[in-house]
Amino acid sequence: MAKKEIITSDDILGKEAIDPDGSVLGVVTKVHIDNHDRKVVGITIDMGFTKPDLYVGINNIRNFGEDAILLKTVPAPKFKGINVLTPEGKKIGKVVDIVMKNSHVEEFVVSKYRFIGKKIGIKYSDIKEIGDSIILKEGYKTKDKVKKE
Amino acid sequence: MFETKIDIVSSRTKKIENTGRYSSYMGKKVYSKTGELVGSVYDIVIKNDCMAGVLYKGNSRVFMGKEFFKSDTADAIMLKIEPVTGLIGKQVFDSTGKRVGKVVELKRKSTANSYEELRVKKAFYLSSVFIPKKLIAVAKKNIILREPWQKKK
Repeated sequence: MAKKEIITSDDILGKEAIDPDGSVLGVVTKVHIDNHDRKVVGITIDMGFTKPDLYVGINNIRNFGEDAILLKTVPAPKFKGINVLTPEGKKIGKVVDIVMKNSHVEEFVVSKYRFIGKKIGIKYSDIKEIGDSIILKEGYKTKDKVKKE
Repeated sequence: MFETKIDIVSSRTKKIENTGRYSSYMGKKVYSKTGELVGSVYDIVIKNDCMAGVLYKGNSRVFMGKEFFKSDTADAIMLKIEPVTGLIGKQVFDSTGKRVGKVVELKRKSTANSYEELRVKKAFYLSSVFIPKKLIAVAKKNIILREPWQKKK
């Protein structure tokens, strides 16, 4: 079947959005259109009950497929809530926040519990592997995060 | 805290305080190279009086050879690899975002951590398609192909 040149919002809404790792991020709920230029500028992905919606710009979309929307990059908010493990496999907590600098991840804020407990910062350079969990390098360093008054 | 005293009857071993025990493996979590929890240990396989590997249960029951252990601590076993057995049940999309189906079987030449092709099915009433490894671009959480998929007639 030839690729459709023109698609409608029905071909986008309700479809699964898939990142380059093959993870299903969620379902597309909105298509954003620039009212002035009359062009599609992005989509909103519903990432589930516990995560906020994610806006993805048109430049980060690879294609609008028949069954799924493929993205070009892995969005950083995807890592919120994933486990952080030491090189030995011991869980030290979950990612509760991500510190970005110039649209790159600089630091992950990790806590054992979502709303209470001590928060620690882990530099991106101390990470060995990011997948289903974050695995830290040998000799990783953590930094206590203090709440701003 | 309150350890039961163990009497030792052995001509070779005098102390057992700093020795490992197979029972400590039971229920231990097994993580893949990327930190995916692939299962938990339910048995240990012993060959010639040495531990050959563990049996773990995740989506399926798998024997994992000890040679693939990266670290083995009190908390978990970290693997050096992404076990190919974890591909079963994953969704396959082609490069245009078209769903090809779900992996139902791996065609393997040996028991090594590799495969030749995937048998993929879209629905139970449809016939399977075989996708060779060279067509696969990404095989992580789901599988994405290098090119648009067209079923051969």
